[in-house]
Amino acid sequence: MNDAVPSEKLKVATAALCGCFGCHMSLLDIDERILTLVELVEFDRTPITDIKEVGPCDVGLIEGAVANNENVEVLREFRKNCKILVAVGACAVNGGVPSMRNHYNLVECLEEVYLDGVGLDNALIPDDPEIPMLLDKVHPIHEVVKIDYFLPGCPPSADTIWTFLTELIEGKPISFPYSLIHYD
Amino acid sequence: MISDKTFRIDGKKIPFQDGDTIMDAALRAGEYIPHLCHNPEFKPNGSCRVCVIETNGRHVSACNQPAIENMEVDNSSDAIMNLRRSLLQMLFVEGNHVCPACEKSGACQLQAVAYYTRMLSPHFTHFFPCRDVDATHPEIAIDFNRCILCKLCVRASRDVDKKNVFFISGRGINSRLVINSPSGKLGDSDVAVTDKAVAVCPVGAILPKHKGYEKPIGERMYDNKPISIVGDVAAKFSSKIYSKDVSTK
Amino acid sequence: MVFNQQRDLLDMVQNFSQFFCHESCGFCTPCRVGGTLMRNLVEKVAAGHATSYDLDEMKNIGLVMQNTAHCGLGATAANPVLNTLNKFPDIYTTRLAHTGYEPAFNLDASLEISRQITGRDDEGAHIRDE
Repeated sequence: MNDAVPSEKLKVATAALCGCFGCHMSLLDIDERILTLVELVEFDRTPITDIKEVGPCDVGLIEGAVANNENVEVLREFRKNCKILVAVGACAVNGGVPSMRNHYNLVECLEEVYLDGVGLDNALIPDDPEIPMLLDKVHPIHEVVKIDYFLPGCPPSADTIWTFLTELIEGKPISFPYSLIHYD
Repeated sequence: MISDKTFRIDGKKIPFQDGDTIMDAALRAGEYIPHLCHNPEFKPNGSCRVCVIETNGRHVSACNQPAIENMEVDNSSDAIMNLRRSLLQMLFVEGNHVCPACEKSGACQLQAVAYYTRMLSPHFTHFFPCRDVDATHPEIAIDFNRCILCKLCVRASRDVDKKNVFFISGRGINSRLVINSPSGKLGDSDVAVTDKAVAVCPVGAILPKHKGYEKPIGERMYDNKPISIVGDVAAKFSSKIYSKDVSTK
Repeated sequence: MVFNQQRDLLDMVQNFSQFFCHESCGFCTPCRVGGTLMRNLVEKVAAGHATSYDLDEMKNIGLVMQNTAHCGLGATAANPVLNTLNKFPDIYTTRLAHTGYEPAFNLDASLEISRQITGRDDEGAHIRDE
C-alpha cells in the first residue's frame, strides 16, 4: 500500500440488486484488511453502513442482476452519482443464476409461484402499488447503464475484490493473476 | 515425413513435417494456440475461429492453415488476443452459459480458454435464447444452452462411433444441435455413455448422468493452471494427443 | 453501388445487415453471432436509441468479422456498416440519442407483461427514459 495516504478518502457505495448478497459477504471476507480499507475509503450508501440514499461517490460496487424496476432505479441512481461503477459477481456481469428464469415466460413464473403453488390460500398475483414490477427478462447491469469494470466470480474472492480496490486506489491498471479469474 | 523445415511462432522456431498445419506443428512442439473446435484426433474444423493467428499480414485459423517454411506467426500480440476474446464473448452471449450452475465448470474448455484470454465479462448484449435440456436418456443429459456448435460430437458420432446420433440443423443464428432419433430426443437414439461423442464434448452440453461436482473447487482441471499448460478437456480420454508422433491425417 | 439523394442510406444498411444475417450459414462464430449483434445495433440506430458507444461497438464487431470469418461472406458482411460509418457518418450521427449510453433493450416495454398480469398502470408500473 502507498505511504502517501490521500487527504480525501475515496467515497465508496455498494448495492445489491437481484443477487444473493454473496458478493457483499465476499467483500467482508477481506477480514482484518477492512481496517486498512477504512483508512483509505469512506463508505456512503451500502448495507454495511445502512445509509439509504447514495450521494456523489468515487466508486460504486454493484452486485446482482436487473430483474425489476426498483433495480433499474437504484442502478440509475448509482450511475448518476458514482464516477466509477463496477459490476461485482456473475449476476451483475452476465445475469447469473437469476437469468435462468429467462427460459420461461414471466407469466408462467408468476402463475407457478402465486397461483399453482402447493398449499396456497387466496391465491393471487401480487399487485400492490408498493411492490416492484418484474421485467420480462433478467439482464446484466451493463445492458442498462455504462459499467466501467467487471469482477467475475460467484462470488469473486475477497482477494479479487481486494486486488481490484488496491489497484484502483493506487491508480494502477487493473489486472488479475490467473488464480483470481473465475466465473463460478 | 520428417524434414528440418521450420517456421516461427512469436519469433520462436517451430519444426514441422510435410502436410502439417500451423496447429499440428504447434501442438507437437508444445506451443499453445487457443482452440475450441479443434481436436487432433479429428480433421481440422475451422468453425470456432478462436485459433486465429496473423501471418504475412493476413488473419487465418491455425487449425487449417498449412505450415509454410519461414512463415512468421503472431500468436500472442494484444491485437490477436483481443480478437480471440471478442470471439469468446460472442460465444458466451449466444448461449446461456451460467457457470455457477454448471457441472462442467472448472473443467470446461470454453471457460478455460476465456480465462486464458483474461476475459472478465461477456461485454455484448445477451441473446438469452430459449433452449431445452434433454434428459430422456437414462445415462446422458444434454443441455443445449451450453452448446458452442463445435461439432465435435457430430464428428465423433459419425466417424468413430459410426452411429450418426448428432448433427447440426438450421442456418445462421438459428443453427442448433439436433438428435438423430425418431422422437428427436436422446432417449430413443442409440447413443451410449461410453461413446466417443460423449467424451469429446469440450463444454457442459453433453454430460454423463449420476455424477457431478466430483472434484472440489481447487482440484478441478483448470483451477490452478491454465489450459495452455493442462491441455484440452478431451485430451485425458486419449493418450495420443500430445505425443510427439501424433498423426492427424 | 449508386443511390440517389432520395434514398435513405441507413435504410440500405439495415437491409444489408438483415440480408447478411439471413444468408449466414452459421458455421463460424464471427459471422453467425457478430452478424446478429451488428444487425441489432443497426436497428438500435434506426430506432433512435443508439449512442456513439454503439457506433464504436459496430466498428469493433466489424473488425472481428473481417479478420476472423471463415469465408468471404462473413469477412465482407460488415462492410456496408463499416464503409458508411467511414464515408457517410452523418446517417448515424444525426440519429443518435442525446445520452451518453442507452440500454440494450426497451425498459418500459419490458414491464408490459407485469402491467398486464397485475392490471397496474400507475407511475410505479413504468420506467421513464432518462
